[in-house]
Amino acid sequence: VYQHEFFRERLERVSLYELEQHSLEPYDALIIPNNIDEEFLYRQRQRIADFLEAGRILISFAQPFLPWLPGQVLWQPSPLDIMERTVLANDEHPIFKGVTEYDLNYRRGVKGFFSRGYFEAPEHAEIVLRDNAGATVVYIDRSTTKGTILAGAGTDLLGYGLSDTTTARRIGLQLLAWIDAERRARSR
Amino acid sequence: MRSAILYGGISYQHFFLNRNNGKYRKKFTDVIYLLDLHSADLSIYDYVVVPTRLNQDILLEHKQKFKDYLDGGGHLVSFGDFERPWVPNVKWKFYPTNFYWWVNPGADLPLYPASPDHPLFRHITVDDAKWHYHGVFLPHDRAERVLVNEIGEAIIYVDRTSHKGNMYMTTLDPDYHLGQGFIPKAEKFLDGYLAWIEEDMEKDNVSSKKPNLKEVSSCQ
Repeated sequence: VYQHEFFRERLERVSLYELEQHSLEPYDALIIPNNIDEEFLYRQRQRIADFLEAGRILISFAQPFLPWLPGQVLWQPSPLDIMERTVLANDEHPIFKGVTEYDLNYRRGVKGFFSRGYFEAPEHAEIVLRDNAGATVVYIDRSTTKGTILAGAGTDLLGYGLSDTTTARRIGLQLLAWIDAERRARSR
Repeated sequence: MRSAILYGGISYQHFFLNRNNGKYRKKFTDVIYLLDLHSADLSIYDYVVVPTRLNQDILLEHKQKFKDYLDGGGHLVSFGDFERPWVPNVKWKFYPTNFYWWVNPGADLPLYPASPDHPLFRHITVDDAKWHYHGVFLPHDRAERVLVNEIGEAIIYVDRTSHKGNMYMTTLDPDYHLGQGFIPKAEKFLDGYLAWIEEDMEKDNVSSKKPNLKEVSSCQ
């Protein structure tokens, strides 16, 4: 994903295990991917808290089972069967504008890649995506810390749409544009 | 049997080990966090499970430890992609994943038993192994192919000759899918696969058992 033409000019990959020695000072946003060592991340939770206290942007696609994400939000598996569950499209949000419900839920006719869980979002969070049971799939939290948290319940917003030419391909590009807009809004 | 499963702190693994009231946490004697592997004594285990999607660079750092363990007679059970040579004599080949074959009526994922009488298939059917795979193994000539694709490349094989201990290798990733909560048939596959592996290890231990010193001295 980091080497994909959409992202390679914009993202720098930092190994989690080198995070202690790596200054986060140059970065506006920090992205936590889905497959990450949460035991180690939990030990580094103060770095994440400090990054947000400096007014920066944290984006997470993880499925937290340990409370390292400010707001103490944990991922919960959806009680709905994959075939019964639909993540509802949100054409109003800049990250998901023009992304159809079908492309959010299906890849080549197979459902369930985008997200299989949900969050109890912090109070005052902006809910970006919900499922058909009303559970939160993606939220933005500008209240818990001095920074902005965008968290998706396992949703890989960078990689999800890359393998096919569907409207889901817009998500990663629109996420980068959202980061820029959020950064500008924060610096105002 | 004493067993250990490596654990990389990834959420799917947490949910895999703890699902069904900790069914798989209880299945294995110990869970070893990957960053603690350097201080773990593997020789106390009959077999060590290396699950899907662990950090392959860290596994590679422990190459000698895995080799010593296998040479000492310990058995290794490995799942999923093999992207770094963290144990010797393993050849992995990547394929784009056909994860959508079952959507189309009449389509199949072509997998076959290398031998119809292989004892694994007393525990599972070939269909239990059919969800998708991300690659294959190209085992050496002395290895025992168990489950193969349409051109004979291995999805499951056993290497009984490279080391004193056996290597049970599969490119399938049932632990990942059970942890992520989809492809429920992966449970039947995994339970049957582990049951066969334990049975096979027992059989191997009995057939290769040499008289120990006590037995020798009592005969004299």
